[in-house]
Amino acid sequence: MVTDDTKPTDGERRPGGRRSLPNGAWRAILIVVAGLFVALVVWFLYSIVDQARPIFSQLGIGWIFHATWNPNKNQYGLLPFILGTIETTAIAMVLAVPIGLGTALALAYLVPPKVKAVLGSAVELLAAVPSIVYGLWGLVALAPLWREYVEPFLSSVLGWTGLFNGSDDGVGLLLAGTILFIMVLPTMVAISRDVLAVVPREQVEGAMALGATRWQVLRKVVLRDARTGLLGAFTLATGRALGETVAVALVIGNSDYIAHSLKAPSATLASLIFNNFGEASGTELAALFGAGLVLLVIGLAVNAAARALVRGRVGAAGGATSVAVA
Amino acid sequence: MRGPLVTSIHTEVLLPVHEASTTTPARTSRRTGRALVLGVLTAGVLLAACSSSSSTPTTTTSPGSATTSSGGASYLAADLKAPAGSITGSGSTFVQPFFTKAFYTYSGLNQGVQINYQGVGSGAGVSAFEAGTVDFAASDVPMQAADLAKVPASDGPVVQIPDILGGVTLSYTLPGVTKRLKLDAPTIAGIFSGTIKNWNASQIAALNPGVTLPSNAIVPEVRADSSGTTYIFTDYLTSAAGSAWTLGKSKTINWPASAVATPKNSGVAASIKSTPYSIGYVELNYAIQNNFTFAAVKNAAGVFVVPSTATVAADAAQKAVVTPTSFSIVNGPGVTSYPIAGYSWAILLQKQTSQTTGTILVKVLDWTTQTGGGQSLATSLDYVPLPPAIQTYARTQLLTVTGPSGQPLLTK
Repeated sequence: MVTDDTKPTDGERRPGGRRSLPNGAWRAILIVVAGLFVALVVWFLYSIVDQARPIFSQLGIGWIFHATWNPNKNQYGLLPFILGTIETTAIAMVLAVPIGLGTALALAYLVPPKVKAVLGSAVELLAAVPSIVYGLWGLVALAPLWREYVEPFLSSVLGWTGLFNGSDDGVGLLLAGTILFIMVLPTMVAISRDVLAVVPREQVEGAMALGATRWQVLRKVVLRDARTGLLGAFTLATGRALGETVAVALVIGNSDYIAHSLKAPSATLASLIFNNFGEASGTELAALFGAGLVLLVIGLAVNAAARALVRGRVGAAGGATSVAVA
Repeated sequence: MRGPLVTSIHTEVLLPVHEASTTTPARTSRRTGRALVLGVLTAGVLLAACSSSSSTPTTTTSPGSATTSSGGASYLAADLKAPAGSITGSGSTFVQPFFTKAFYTYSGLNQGVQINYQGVGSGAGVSAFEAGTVDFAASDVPMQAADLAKVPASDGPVVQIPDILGGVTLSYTLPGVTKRLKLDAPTIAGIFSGTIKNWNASQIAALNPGVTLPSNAIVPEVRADSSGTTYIFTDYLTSAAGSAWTLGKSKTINWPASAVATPKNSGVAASIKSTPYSIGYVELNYAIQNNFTFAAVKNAAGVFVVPSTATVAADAAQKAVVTPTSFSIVNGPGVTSYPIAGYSWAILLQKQTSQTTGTILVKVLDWTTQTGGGQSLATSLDYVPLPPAIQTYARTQLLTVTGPSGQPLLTK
């Protein structure tokens, strides 16, 4: 998670007593470890590109943006799945950001310790649930509710937007987005909570001393100070939503067509790979690896966009970041 | 593939007599308790269909002393005699509950033998077989020339035998309709290609006089993953629906946008159960174990037949000879034939590289494919036993399997 010293000082802060390795040795070890990690990433990327190569050498690059997926006719358009991936993730994050951030703020600053302990372990419990359980629960418990209540309600209230046309099937983009929201919420809450908790006391107390209300302190001091860390939470949660396979496959309806309504069945790149990998061979297998590459690119793009956003906002002020991967 | 949703269940067949009953979770810490609850939840919902696979076998005679007979030809304990050792296989999840029970029973009768079968899906099983990592594979569609070409030439020819028979039902949830629906191939084709959109469509009404059909939209439920069930279903429509079916026959179909697709038989089953006005194609054993209502389907003789182990068997009996290249049994003649059916196949190398492993393999597969052996367990799991002619075919094929020296491994 997140360590409390946001700026790791260079050595010398070692707890006394034990005389450990000289700095040079530490340096060497760290370089080797980091090098291994880089090598792993490179090797991983290389294998995926290598497996996907046949489809690119056969069909070039344009096939990615075609709208028809039909392996029987050698058509491997990924557009419906790219859109489905972005749409479900967008639904999930639109819900997860305010709710996750709100919960994290409450956990870090508002609720009494007892409630905090209960809420905290609830978050950790949710994070430990295997994704297939979420998917099953979505299919068996949520889908009927969505069909009977949520979708008709949204259609009647928001029907004018044109986003909720068509029949109420239960399964579809909306339910998949909701399941993803529930799945990324623990990530969002746990990391945000830790990031918020390390905002320096002095700043909070200083703002209070200047007469700021609690809400002003949260908004203008805490959120501002923790911004970079919160973006880290957002990036990780988005990554999980983009790449989730089995839970999405169970509740999205797995249609190979571009959905024209949030209620319609759709599919994501990850669910496409999940559903077809077991039986795929030849060009289709290469196309699935290609879909994996596209997913990686989308993930990188989200990451880069988040970084750019932080850099743009923080600018030269340079809030020290302290996001560690969970 | 056809089968439960959790594709990588490791089905390790253990000796059933003493050990198996004592492996109940004795050490249950708080953490594993939580995991257990989740696991049970998952298993309960998903594997309801395979529940009977975990029951202990009733026949636990010791090897060398008695015969195992539950109808049909008796299978002598002497024939069971195989050297101690273990074999591994992988593939179809459709056949997995049957294999689990059959191999468990076999290991109980022949305690030196251990059989590991992993239901990873037919395609993955065939790939593992081609790569030589398993002793046998199971697939819902036999390997064709293109697949066979991937087996290294040094491995020699491949033997494929039918191991079990299954039927595909059209299961539906139709509130307010109590009478069993009747459907024919063109109507089914219309429903699944999106041209018949509502339950009270004239084509459905014409087949079901006297039934008050709701006007609700039909929700077609299909398989999201590549599946032998889909192959059998679309093979039937291709053969019987004529011009009404244009989507072809394949393990994956480009379904119309109106269809809701879910992975695995159990996924489709769960989706049909929770969606009113839905209809989907599900293996007979899943349909029966989920208490689904399924349609009577018009067969080639013009009779509406309800799927059951008997009517699927009647359809299969119409084709006395099946081979890996001529394996389709859909739309068979005969007034009692249920027309949507197909075999699952076991795949092995004709020339085994190990005398011991090869002997175990052919003995196990022979026992599994014969009445008095594994086939007698089929009906209790809602599978359909192989017809006698097909059992004979399976044995004939197994008799051609040799050890490293070229000597046949099975002598019968």
